Amino acid sequence: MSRNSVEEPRTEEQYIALTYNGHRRLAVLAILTALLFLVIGVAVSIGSTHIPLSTTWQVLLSKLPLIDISSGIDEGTDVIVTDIRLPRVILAGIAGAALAVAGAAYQGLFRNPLADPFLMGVASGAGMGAVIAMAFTSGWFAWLATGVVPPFAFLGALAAVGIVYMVSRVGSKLPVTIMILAGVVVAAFFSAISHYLMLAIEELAHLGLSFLWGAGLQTANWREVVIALPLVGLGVIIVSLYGRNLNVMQLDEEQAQQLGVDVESAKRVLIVAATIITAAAVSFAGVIGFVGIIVPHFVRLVWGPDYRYLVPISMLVGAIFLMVADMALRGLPGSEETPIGVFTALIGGPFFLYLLQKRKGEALF
Amino acid sequence: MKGATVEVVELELRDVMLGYGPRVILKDISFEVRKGELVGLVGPNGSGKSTLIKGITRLIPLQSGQILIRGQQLLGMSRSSLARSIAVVPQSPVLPELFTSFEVVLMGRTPHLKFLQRESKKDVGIAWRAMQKTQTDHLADRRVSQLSGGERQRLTIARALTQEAELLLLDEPTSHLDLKYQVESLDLVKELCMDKGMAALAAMHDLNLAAQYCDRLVMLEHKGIHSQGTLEEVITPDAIRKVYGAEVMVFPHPVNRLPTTVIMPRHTNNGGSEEKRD
Repeated sequence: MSRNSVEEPRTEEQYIALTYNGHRRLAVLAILTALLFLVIGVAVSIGSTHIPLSTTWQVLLSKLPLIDISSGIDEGTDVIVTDIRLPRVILAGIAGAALAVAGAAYQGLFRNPLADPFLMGVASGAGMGAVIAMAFTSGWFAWLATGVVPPFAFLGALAAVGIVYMVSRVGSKLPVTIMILAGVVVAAFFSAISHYLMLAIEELAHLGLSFLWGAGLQTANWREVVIALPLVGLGVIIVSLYGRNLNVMQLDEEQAQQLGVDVESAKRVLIVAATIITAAAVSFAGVIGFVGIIVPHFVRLVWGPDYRYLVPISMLVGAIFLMVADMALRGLPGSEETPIGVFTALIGGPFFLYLLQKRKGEALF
Repeated sequence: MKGATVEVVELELRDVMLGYGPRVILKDISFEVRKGELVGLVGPNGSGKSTLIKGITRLIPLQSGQILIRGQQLLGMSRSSLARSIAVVPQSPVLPELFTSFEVVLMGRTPHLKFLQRESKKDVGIAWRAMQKTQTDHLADRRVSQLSGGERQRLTIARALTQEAELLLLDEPTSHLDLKYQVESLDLVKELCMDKGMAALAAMHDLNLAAQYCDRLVMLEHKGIHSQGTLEEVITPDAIRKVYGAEVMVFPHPVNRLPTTVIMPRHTNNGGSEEKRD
């Protein structure tokens, strides 16, 4: 929003014109979408075997219908690009988009700027659900795992959000500090259960404890993408549809109700949607922290707090952020096997402390 | 329904009891607010003024009795149809700090929009004129975090106007305002009642402001109504001694003859004249 003539009253017509600058917002979305595809292309070409960008694009484009440029691609490159790297990059994007949108939704519906799927223990709850599902489906039932993990993760995530909500609620408010404390404890508790199961059950040993840090990306495959994408897509669409209601809900609950918003039903729908998104991301990528807090706050600072744009922009920025982070990990020598959650925590931890510090004086929300 | 009255009754309360389960917060409340009227809800802190306003907007459950909005039962109305009929100006409202003033005022259109509908140019125009009317248009692009208490209050009045409801409920609309804005805000509310035919119910703790602006008063005392009626009927030294526990005298205002409450301090400066409240 332009601030060049703050003190000068405008006419109604000028103001209508100024408010209807929807083109600018569409342009932002279009540019970010283009950037997303560019990042996919670059991310696929980076890794232990370097594949030139032009070859990557050739392989990717050859998969599209009606385009026949597959000549000259050797089979090994094709497998690396389409079966190993592309699903990993796309899963990273899905997880990034999911965690960013879930973070924005939790922040909005709880009116708490520090809400985040990781800090609230929701991601750890989902992780525990996923580990339990994998324990049940180990051995003979392994083929079931991909389908069974998300519902279990959802139940674990819902348990976490339910506990945090009930413990920290004061009237209709969730005080920031109590919610974070409750979230940290719930996260530690569920992570402890996950760790115990992974060490105690032999069949889970192959996952390695780093699954809980987001190492799921390293074993990404198309089946996981096919399950995660519609779940996350559905959740993101639901949250987006509630954009205007989320704006009004940034007033306190009484004002929102007095303006005609059915706050209770909106909250229920949004909790379920945000929790499905989180569970879908965690099921296959593992627990990746801080994306839900870094991305929405960055988007708010740059593009403003309107949830109708905050949600789709956070989705795109979240996807780009995690794909770039994953690409950086794969590109750095020696860090190939570092789970991505380690990386996001290294960035997110200091950012969180910065927010905590800044909260004392300034508006974040 | 009472068909005999010429004026439209915007709000009617009949033997209203409000509370949560066995906890009664207000009982035996009966009064009405007609089109074009500004009715004052007075009483000391904790007498239930804010509670009554929350009850009328269904934030506190109605235990017994009836609340009628233009003859329609409150309990049968949806949240959004209620918000199209009643606009509330809350006391020291929480506002989202990063939003601009204009965005907050435009939120007043919420009950008029369908779930996925976005604001039309007409909605923007309505919000803009409400800001001009409340003299907040120069703040339109500013973030809420940059506004003073008085500016926030006027912003919520602008938002209430944007709702285009027939009935305005104000909860201590002037308690955070400087004298200049107290007068301006209440002048505005009065003007809306007189010129636009709106009805308003305002909770006020300042009896002198209430007397200057209200057509009638309802005085609350400890969970119920102490008295209601014209200014002269309600504002009496006896009533104020009983309800507020304070010794006062009531004189006609030197210019407009409206009842004016004057406090009687036990100690005053020697030779100084007695200070008027506020």
